[in-house]
Amino acid sequence: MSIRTPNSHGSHGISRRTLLKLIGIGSAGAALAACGAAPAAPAASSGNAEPEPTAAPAAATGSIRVLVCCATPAEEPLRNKYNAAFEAANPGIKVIAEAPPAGMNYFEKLQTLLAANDMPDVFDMWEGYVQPYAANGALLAMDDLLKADSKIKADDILPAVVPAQSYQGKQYAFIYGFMPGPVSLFYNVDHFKEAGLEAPSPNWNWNNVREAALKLHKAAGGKVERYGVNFENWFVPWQYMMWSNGAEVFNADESKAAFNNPKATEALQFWYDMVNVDKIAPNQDDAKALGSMAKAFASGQISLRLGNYWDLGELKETKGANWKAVLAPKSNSGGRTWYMHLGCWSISAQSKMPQAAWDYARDFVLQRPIDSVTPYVPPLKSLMSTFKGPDHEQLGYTALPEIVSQPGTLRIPGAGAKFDKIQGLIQAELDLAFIGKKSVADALATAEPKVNEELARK
Amino acid sequence: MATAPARTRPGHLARREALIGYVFISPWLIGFLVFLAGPILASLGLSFTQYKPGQIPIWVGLANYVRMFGDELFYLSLSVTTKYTLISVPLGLAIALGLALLLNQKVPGQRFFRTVFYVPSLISGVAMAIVFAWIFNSRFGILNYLLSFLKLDGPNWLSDPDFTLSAFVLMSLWGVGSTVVIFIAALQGVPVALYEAASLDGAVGWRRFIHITLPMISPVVLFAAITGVIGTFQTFAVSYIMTSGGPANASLFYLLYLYKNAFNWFEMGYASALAWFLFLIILICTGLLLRTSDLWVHYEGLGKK
Repeated sequence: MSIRTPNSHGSHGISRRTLLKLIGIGSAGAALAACGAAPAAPAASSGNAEPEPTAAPAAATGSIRVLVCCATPAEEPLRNKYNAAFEAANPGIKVIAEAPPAGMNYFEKLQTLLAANDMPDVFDMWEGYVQPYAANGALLAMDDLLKADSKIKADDILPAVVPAQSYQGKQYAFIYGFMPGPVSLFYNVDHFKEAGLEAPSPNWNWNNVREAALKLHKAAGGKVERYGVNFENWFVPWQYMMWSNGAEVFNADESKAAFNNPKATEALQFWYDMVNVDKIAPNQDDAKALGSMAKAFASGQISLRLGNYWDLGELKETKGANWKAVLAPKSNSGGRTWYMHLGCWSISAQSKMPQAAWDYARDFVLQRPIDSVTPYVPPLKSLMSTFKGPDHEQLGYTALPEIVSQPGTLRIPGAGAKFDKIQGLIQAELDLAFIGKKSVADALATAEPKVNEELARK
Repeated sequence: MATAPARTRPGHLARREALIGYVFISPWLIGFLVFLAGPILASLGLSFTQYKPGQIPIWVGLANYVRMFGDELFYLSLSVTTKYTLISVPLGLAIALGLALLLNQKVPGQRFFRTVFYVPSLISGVAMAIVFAWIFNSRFGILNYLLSFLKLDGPNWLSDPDFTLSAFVLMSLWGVGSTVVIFIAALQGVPVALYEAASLDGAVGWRRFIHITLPMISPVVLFAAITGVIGTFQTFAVSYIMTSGGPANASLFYLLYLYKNAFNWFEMGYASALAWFLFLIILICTGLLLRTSDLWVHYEGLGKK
């Protein structure tokens, strides 16, 4: 092909400019093609037809994008190992995993991907988020995939986890593990010995915690040397407090607020009084100053901590810390209902590789690849015997399988898609109670109509 | 008599030059259309819909705009932002002007001090927010430590709703450096002859400032006020990082509320309406400032104050 310079003779040859244009258009086309998804395999049937059992790995080839929320550094190599093993067991399937740093606005990222119609195939979901995402049509109903699966059976799933992964009777998430929150009462062994106190037991109630904390707290000249106890003021602890004391956040059909009642008030006031009346627990500002509460506890600045399973990483990192844990205390009326923290996978409704995505999620549930560093309770009855760890005895976790199998011990937040906003409305009032500017009764009474208004809004 | 030049069609060369011009600005033009004008227009359309990401928008007409007026958090966030604007903009302008006057003096180390005052404005909002979270800490923060020398018991700046907004106003003063630089440039543009004439008439000090300096730099003050108002109405990062709108919504700035609606609560249509209402507020504020500028801004050569 000859290249001609532009001329004014009406030549029909390809000019340099035309050639450059063509190259440009061609390059752009190639680039766009490269950015596009790999050729997709036919999607799994989501209709009413009875799907064929899939004993063998999915025949589809291509890649699945996996988005992980909040993976700890210790989990990373384990997840990579699992991904490599999955690729090896499923020839033709490539796993493209992305794990933004923990706490980096995971759901903002997911929302943006959803708005951009660019959802990953498999992604982490949380308690309380499954329902709003399912309501928005973002998640694939997994019922047909589960029914067709030969490795897992629906009746093997623990009843406690079914509501958490379902929406309107369909399964939109696959829980790979869960933990009660706040699961543990951590205590400093040396402080207890020094104060001549008996170590906490799994049967402690809130009064026992307060009495011990009063004896363990050390302050002189207005300066606190160490806090007797510490707990956090956000929706997981305050729901545990309300539920454990027999109160509800919402009524049965979640159409009205139910927290403005004496039981909820009594529960929260009991804990908040340890901050503002007894002054044996750090207030919001003191807590900020202490930095990580788990580290502050491990370094001996706090004697008792009502904490979560994710504290364990920092506690184990702190050398020389002499701590132990028992399960979180029961309320003074004897109840203990936990918030259910989940690790779970959902599959995008847009996924072009739903079977491979399902296989990935299912095998993750069955193989429990991160179990050694993140001690989740498994979601299957048949896996319950695998819930073992070298420190489970020390943490009191050995009692968990039996406890969580009892109905009513674990709950997820109510109000579906509205919960995030509603918890914010309640939290705004409880912030005032936590710093002692309002009584809990006044805070809950003020929050109630706001929550009712939000629940009533269509 | 001069005749008007005959109107001619642009020649081949002129058309070619124009075409080349468009080609050169095309990266910006395409970027503007795709990443700015497109989303702006889309958000206007979405503001009339109920839109949850991943779903098809449903036309609801003016419902989102009507909803605002019954939304307690809308009023609250607007009130927080307006209070913040009304306090921090005038205060920031006054302090920036005071610093500019000081830094405009011929003193040793003048350039060094100008640099020192400007440097903080180069620090990103995120880094600043993290540092200030420590400065405002009631127990270990430097601010309360300094107040203790004055026998003052510093408050819980970021935990007590009564003090949170004050903390944000104080923090906003950290970034006055860029306004200081603009004011210094304006001060150096005031003709010396005016000061000499004033001296001959016996005007010194405060009178010189009120009758010469301030009127002469008033167009720059107007510019700083307008950009300040626009900037404060768009406050987001600091409250998002430091307090997430708390405690008790005391730092729920308008843009943070908008963001929560869009990205936390699946209310993209309502968030779009909030965005357009914010645009309207900023437009009105800017219009008011420009309107009142006839009363207090001196434009040389226009034959008016």
